[in-house]
Amino acid sequence: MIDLFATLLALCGFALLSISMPRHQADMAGGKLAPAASRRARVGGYALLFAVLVLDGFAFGAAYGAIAWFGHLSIGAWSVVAWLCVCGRGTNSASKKKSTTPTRGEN
Amino acid sequence: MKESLRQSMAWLHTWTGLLLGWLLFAMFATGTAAYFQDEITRWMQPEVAGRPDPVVATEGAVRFLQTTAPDAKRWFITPPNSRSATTQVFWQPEGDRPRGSRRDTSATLDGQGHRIEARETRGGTFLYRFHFDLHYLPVIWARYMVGIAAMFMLIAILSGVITHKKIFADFFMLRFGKGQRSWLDAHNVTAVLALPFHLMITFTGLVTLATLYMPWGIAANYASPDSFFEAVFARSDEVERSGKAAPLAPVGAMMRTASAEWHGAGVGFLSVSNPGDATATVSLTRAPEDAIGSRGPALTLDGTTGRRLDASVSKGAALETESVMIGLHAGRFAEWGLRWLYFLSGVGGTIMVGSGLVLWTVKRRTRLPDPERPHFGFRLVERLNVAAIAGLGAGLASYFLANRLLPLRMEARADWEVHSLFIAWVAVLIWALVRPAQRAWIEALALAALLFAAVPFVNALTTPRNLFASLVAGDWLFVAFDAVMLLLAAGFGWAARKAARPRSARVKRRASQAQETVVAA
Repeated sequence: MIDLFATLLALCGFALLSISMPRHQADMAGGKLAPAASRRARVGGYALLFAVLVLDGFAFGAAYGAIAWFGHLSIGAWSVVAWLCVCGRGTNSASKKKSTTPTRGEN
Repeated sequence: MKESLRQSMAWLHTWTGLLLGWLLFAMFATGTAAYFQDEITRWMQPEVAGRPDPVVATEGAVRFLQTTAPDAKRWFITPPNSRSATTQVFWQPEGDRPRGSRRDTSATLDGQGHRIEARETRGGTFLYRFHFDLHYLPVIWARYMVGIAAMFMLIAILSGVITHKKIFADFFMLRFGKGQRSWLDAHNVTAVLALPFHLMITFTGLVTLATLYMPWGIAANYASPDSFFEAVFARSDEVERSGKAAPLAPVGAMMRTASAEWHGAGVGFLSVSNPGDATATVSLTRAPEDAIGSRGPALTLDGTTGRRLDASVSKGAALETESVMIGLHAGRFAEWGLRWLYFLSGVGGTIMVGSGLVLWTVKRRTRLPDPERPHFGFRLVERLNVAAIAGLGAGLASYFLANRLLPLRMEARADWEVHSLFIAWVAVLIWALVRPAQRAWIEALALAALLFAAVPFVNALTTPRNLFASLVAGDWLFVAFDAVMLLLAAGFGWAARKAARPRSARVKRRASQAQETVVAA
């Protein structure tokens, strides 16, 4: 139960962080946000991720909690990615304007 | 021309990732499955049910050993834990008799101490062992290969981080239907979002076999590796039997003594020296599921009186660190929630390695002088990718299917379950070599999907423990196993559909372009 709650909290945290990024705002917030709102979303996102750490620490103790925290963060972040894939219509819009050259080197 | 750091790291990332990538994929996949090795074993022995009490089961095991091997030099007992249902015992016969078959000196017992009449299988343990010992190979070679692969993995992770230009900007990016870009996205998203896990698991994996890979510290300080292990993991000295018979004190009371000493943690392992003799001693080791550190404390008691003789000395900082790192890798301490997090992170790592392998070919295909006739290296990588990714999937599903389909009384049954994994794997490799690459992908992925989908159905036809019965009985282990099989089938099926689409999409695009040209003209 705690795991589910912590994962949801991490999901919300990463969702806020993605809202703070201009390229995801069309999907996550329905349009561009003002810089102040972006900043609030970013601070709120980090605060939630920290809250997950505190929650895990209380639920499982410092050592187990730290391990669980990394797991909850990964699943939470992957859930946001999945959300953007399924529901995001404009996710690609930010990248469409840019070149699609891969980031890797020559090889 | 001097290359930039990023370019040289990209080169390093590409080649360390590719060279042993196929082995890494197999290690990641089977290692991930091994987080549920006890559950897989329970699924593969459907005859065994129930949750035996560890103390009662150990007392039963002692009764079994007293009749089966009363004059053995040592007995070793692994009681059931919260996840397994059986007691494992083996014994070292008196004298230096040549070791017979394993069956002569070991047994799997139920909660009452009776030999279990269940199908012969290596269960989840095989996947766990394969993950670092491989198979059909001398163990020591396998461990060196696995170590080199893990070292490459560590280099690939670090160089990958340096190579990745936009870790934060691309944090949530996963775009489908964009060819190379999509593969890079998938590779990045699975790698970056579980980066702490990947780093931890690779590094601690190397630590588990560190004394094998870096023997020089021991060589410089100890006469032989054995004297190092004796000094560090002191086992109670062998004492000659006195010849004076004395009954063993109740082992249940000893387990309670040990638990009290460890603040309630259970006993994970017992060894009894000189059972039935006045010189008998019993060593108890803490269960690995009760703390992160993999090498728990041990307690030695007098076998006839139950009096405390000796407790393991507390470890120094280095050994304690090693113990915690190994524990962190194996995750034996993890409860259900954490265990699933380990498993899902491992799935992410497996996809990371797989998508990296595919990316190598996707990236080069467009730059081939003649895409219809690629050079040998390209074809080799392409085919090995099919065999490693889809082939292992088909192999694992075959392993589970063989467990249900092979005759129960078959000779060397457990071996043939393992053989069927490799037969399916090699069959997919051969298939990949003879078919056009694109078709091979589609067919091999579809085969893996079909085989995984078949597992719950074959289980329902061959055992009474089908999905419906498990749901009614609240047997979540069997429900979850069937569900994971169906999810894997869906995953492979989806991949097969995706693999089938690009060509038709290309054709469509070409057709519409042609139409546009006609209209324009």
